[in-house]
Amino acid sequence: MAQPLHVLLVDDDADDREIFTWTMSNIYPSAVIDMAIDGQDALEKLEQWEYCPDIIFVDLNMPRMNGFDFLKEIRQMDRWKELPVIVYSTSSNPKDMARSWQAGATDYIVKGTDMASVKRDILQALEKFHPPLPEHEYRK
Amino acid sequence: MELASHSWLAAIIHSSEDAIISKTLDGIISSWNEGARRIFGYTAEEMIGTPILRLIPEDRHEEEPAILERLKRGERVDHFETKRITKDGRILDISLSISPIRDNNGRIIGASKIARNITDQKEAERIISEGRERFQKELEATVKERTRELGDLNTRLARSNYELEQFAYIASHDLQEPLRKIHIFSELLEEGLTGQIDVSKLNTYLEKIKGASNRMSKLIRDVLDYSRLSRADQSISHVSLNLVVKEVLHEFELVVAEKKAVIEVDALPVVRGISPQFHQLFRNLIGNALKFSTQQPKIVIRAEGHHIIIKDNGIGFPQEFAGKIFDIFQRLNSQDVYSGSGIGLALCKKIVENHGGTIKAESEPGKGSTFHIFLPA
Repeated sequence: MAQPLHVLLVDDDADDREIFTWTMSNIYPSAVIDMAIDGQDALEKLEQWEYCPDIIFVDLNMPRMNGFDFLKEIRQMDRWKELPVIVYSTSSNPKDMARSWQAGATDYIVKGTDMASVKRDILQALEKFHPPLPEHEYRK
Repeated sequence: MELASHSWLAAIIHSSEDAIISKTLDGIISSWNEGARRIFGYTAEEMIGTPILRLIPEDRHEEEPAILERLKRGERVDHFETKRITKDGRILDISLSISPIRDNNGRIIGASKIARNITDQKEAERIISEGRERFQKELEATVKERTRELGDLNTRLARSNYELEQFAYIASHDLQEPLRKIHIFSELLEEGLTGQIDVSKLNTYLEKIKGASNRMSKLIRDVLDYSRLSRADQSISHVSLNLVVKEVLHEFELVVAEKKAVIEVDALPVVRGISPQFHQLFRNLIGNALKFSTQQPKIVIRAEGHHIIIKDNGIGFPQEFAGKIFDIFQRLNSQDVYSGSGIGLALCKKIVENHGGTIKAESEPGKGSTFHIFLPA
């Protein structure tokens, strides 16, 4: 049986975490969604877990460790070098985009202002970047 | 003919503007024309047979032997600029041309000198050179002043540019956030109303919408407060910081009672500044100290001269963020736990800088924070 799709969302905003979960339950009901509240939390969870998520969505402006620093950290680790990490931020500021690419982002999505665009953007990212199931190349 | 030319030459010498004087090789004057009288004030009778040294200021007496030496060697002295003294003691600037006089056998027997009074010319040169120097100095001062003004303007421009960038960031990020939430949760609410109605879920959506619109109005208010600080239209007066703190604490009465906060206020200075801005400064700092606490808040406000210290026992922050916390929209804590627009401390910094002071913070997570405000005396 195919492994379910594992998605990690790193976001300090509880509302955004709720919106994301709601969206995923609509477009990808079988997916397993994990949450981290900031970069530091995400790194600790990634270290602890037996498995590796298939794709990560990460916010930028977070306390403790922001999205840029999280990206830089995980791009230094061999096992997470190729992992698709999508920046998922409210910011449409070109500087934030440039910094994200430099830090090693796979893609950059500005959080949608309505449900339709939120769904569309997440779905597109999943289709574009998550590896065909089942696969294990990103697993530990 | 020879006689005629002799008297002709004598007439030329007599009517010359310049002093034409002859002297022996011992430096004794042997002839003295009308020009010499006009320039030096002595008549021919007074001067002929007396030493030329009479005309030379004491500090230049060594010039004469040197001149005589050159004459004896048959050399001329051309346009030698020096100073000579008149009968009434005035010192003149003189240009001297001296040539040896030879007898029929070519032997040097004396010297003829033409002395031109160049005092006026020298004075004019001095005035021109002084004028040039003064002009140069004034020009340099003006350039310096303009450069300084340009520098100041540049700094102000850079600052306002930076603030503009921050405002662009507000538009692109912080104002978007609540707006997005309002829109999306309204959609979810709508969807919920058409399907199976889960009232508690719908209520949470409504709460989220209200929360987002509250955040947005607070943000707009704070941004406006911040932008108003740029204007210098508020009047400067003597501000008693004790009075300011007293009034601010009055505003926080309810929170203080609810949290059972202990607040100690020592003697604070009276400073010159904009009173409403100091209210805002203490409102933000005391508000933060009350907000970022997990236990019973204890706040101490004291001063050492114009150094004001505000210490709390709140959650604190890692010292490496001490510089960043004063940046606009720099949030160190999750919005879920500690609400806020992220402008408060940026506002504090701007207020203190408006008054020519500096603000810094030191802290350790869990050990409380201390804010230091240094105001000019």
